[in-house]
Amino acid sequence: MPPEAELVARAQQGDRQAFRKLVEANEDGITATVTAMLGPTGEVDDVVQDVFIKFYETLDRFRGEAAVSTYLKRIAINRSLDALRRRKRSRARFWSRDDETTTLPEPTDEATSDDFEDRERERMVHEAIQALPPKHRAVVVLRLIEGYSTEETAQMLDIAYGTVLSRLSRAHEKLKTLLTPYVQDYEG
Amino acid sequence: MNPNTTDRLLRHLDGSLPPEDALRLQDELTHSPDLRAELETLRAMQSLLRTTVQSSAETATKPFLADRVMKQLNPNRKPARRLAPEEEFFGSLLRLFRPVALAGVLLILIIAAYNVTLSSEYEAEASTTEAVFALPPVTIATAYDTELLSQYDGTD
Repeated sequence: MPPEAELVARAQQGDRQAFRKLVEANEDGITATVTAMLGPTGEVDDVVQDVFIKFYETLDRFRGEAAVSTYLKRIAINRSLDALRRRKRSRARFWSRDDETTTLPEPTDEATSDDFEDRERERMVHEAIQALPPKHRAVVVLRLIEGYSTEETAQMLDIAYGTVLSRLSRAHEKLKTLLTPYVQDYEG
Repeated sequence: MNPNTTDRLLRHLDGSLPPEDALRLQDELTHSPDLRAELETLRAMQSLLRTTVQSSAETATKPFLADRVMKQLNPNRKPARRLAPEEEFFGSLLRLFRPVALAGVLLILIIAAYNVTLSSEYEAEASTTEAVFALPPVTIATAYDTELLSQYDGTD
């Protein structure tokens, strides 16, 4: 595959195949970020597409100071926060939590008790992440899950270094409370 | 837990602590079972979150995502070109001009309507133009009429 900078330059000239390669190279990473932010709901597919469309529309502003993946993660976080705001408005309007229902895959006939335990753990982890305020969730996703440094997280979210630390610490405390049995299992 | 401690432990897990800080933390870990427990919890939590998100993400989108994204891109539209600073400046002036011009036209119409209303109220003998622009009923001919001028001056 050609280097990323070359693909970006070709896409900026209108080469759609080059843009497609950028989509293919980043779709898994962006899907993971959006899934972490929104939970495994039907909205994820729409938001991920939206991230790449936004990237295409603003491609010429991309100067290559950061990696494409980092630039896309930033868009993904912002688009996810927009989706969470829409979800909140919709919930306030219809007094329903339907949008937040996680859509984990249905168990198959061969599913064992281990599969059920895995599914239950997966559901609890997503519920715990969803219990965090969206801004704290964004910090957890970038710093704790994606492994960006505190400085990078602060830059990507456009917040102060100290704010990242305090949000992360509070989010970590809350996650610990909600996930203690699962974390202990994981340690074991 | 102190926010700085969480950060130090995470950086320890990332391997991004400077060597002297790493040594100091290692020393603290040796002497503090609580801190060791915190480190283990953080490590397990990070691992649990990563594994779970990765597993859920595998089924979170429908197949052929790249195809669907490409179909939604407007084939006639190239990526947006970044404007030069002067283009942005003139663009913003143009955007500003429209509402200002509209407000000006509206103001003129209001004044004209006010003048017409006023002139009909006082039943002044004024032409439409005089009424609209609130002009005094004076023509160039009357302005230079010497008889009239002398009447106002009080001279012959």
